[in-house]
Amino acid sequence: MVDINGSKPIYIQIAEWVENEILRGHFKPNDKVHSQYTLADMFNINPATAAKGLNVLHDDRIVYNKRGLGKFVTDDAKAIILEKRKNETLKRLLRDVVIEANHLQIDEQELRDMLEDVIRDHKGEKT
Amino acid sequence: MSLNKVTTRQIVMKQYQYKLKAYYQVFNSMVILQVIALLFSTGGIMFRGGRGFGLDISLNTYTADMIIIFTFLWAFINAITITTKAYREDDFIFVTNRQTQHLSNMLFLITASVIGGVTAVLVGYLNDIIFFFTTDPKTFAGYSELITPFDVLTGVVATSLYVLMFCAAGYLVGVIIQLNRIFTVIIPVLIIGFLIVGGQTEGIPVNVRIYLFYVGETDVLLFMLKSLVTSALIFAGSFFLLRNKEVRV
Amino acid sequence: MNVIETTGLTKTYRRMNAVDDFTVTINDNTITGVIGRNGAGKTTLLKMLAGLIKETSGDVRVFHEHPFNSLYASANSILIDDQMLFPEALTLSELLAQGARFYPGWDEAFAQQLFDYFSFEPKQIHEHLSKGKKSTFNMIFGLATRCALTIFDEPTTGMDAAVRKDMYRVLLKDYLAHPRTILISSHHLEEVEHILENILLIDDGTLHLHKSVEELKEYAVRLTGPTALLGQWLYNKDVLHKKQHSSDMMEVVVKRDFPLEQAERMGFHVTPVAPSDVCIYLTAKSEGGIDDVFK
Repeated sequence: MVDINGSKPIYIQIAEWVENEILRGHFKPNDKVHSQYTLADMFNINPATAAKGLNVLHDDRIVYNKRGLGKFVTDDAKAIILEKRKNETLKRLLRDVVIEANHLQIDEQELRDMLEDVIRDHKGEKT
Repeated sequence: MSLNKVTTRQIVMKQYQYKLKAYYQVFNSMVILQVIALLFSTGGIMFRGGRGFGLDISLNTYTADMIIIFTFLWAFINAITITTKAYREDDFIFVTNRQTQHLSNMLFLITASVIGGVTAVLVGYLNDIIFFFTTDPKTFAGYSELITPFDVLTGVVATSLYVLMFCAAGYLVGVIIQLNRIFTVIIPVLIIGFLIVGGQTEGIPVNVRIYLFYVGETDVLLFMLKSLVTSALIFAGSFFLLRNKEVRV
Repeated sequence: MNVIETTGLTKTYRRMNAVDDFTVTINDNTITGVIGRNGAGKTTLLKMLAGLIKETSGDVRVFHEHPFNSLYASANSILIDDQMLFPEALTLSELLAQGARFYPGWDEAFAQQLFDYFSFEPKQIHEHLSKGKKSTFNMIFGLATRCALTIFDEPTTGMDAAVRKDMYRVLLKDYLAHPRTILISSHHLEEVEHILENILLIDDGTLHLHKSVEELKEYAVRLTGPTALLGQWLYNKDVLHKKQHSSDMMEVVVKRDFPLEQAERMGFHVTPVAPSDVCIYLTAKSEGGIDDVFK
């Protein structure tokens, strides 16, 4: 759900929510995504904010406009989202980790070990 | 977004109908006042007695003056009431501007005057009827005038027009008070002072002149003209004074 | 279309400017929050827009007309506030009936549904309602008019938290179904900001800023770090607020006109500042806060 008081701007959260729906396959290529009004109603926000979120998706070519009909998922939406998450979200998270590690005076090797541990644990959970 | 056009005429009528509904207590107070006046009147308001030639004479004159006077008073106060803050602010919850507000107030006061005039005259006749059945016929000297339908009609019209003038006067007084509270003191002082001292023109006090101007007018049509013009002028003056009055300040 | 246009709008009371040289334009189909401290001039501004009071100088246009004494503006706008008096002779249901007679766009079904939902009784008298109930009724009345310009001045006075939440939800849903221009003034920006598109910040009767809520969210950041380091780093920054946590830790709110990485690289803790806080800091009388009084 959208966190009104969260650190992320709401329109980014809206964009990410739609992206997640696409990743989960709820919206398939050439499906119509929710309008700004539906999103506004769902998340209890101003439609202009929802529209801004949709515009982010449009700028990233995750959705395209059909005049008068609304916004639709592009063919390579999923690939774009994954690439975007990799570049932005993951890198940002990693950078936060590095900064935090600096604060805690953890050296590079220790950080790498910790990361490998986490990867191993995660694999274990999956199997 | 859709924008709606409305006309002054539409809104004046809507405000007028709203006021008939919202101000109905005004008529309750009128009925109460007229009943009180009736009770006062049935005892006879003038009494003259005398002795002579071995006879006791007592002469009671029964008139409906009290009812009329109370109705005037009611009109005056009622008109002041509708100029007060609460009443003016109510209008602005609905669609209005100051022009439609005044026009609908005027229509309401005209209606109130007609109702006041008709009831005052009818209650006056009721007074006569009560008198007729409660008095010894042998001592009944007769009516001071004959009643014809035309008499009743002129009576109603004239009374209504007087009531309207009192409404207009009350409205003006109310408006002036709305401009500045200090007039709540100044106006009564002026009125009382004027009644006591009066001004004099050519030896006749101004208040007597005013009285003669209206009451002394024997031509019904001329009287109607005089009273209507007077009321219209006072209403116009009131509107002029309050045309820029702010609300909910 | 511009619904509201003011230029140099000024209102003077006893030689004090309650609203001072105020110039603003508000587009149709937006929800704008009118934010400011007590006595900032919000109410005076809103009453001029509603045509209830008259400007001392400058100009105000609502639907391209001067609202004071414009029947057109009156038919298409309404001001709802907590000091509204309704005629005492009419019951609540009669008031709704009058609303339907006067306002061409009145939505009877909507009014009735909310009337029932908030459990009003048709025979109740407005004057006898509790403060919160009055506010609820007023808001229902205001929304039901469907006026192209609907102004709410502190509409939730006296309502409990649940009703406030409900009413703002109602307002948003009704706006989505029937877009129009809505102004809301409130002391509690955090309660309404999610439904707002723009914010109009008023301070001492003047327009402080007019921005979208999203812009305002990115207007400033809060930095926390060692006093010596942070203090030095701040020398050319626009500081809105300063607070000393301890002798060597400090918190500052600065205008965000630099890349955030810059601050993060310095090791400062960077957190966003809520729009309501931005408004408080922007209209604060000094850089410090109430804590300074106790020094």
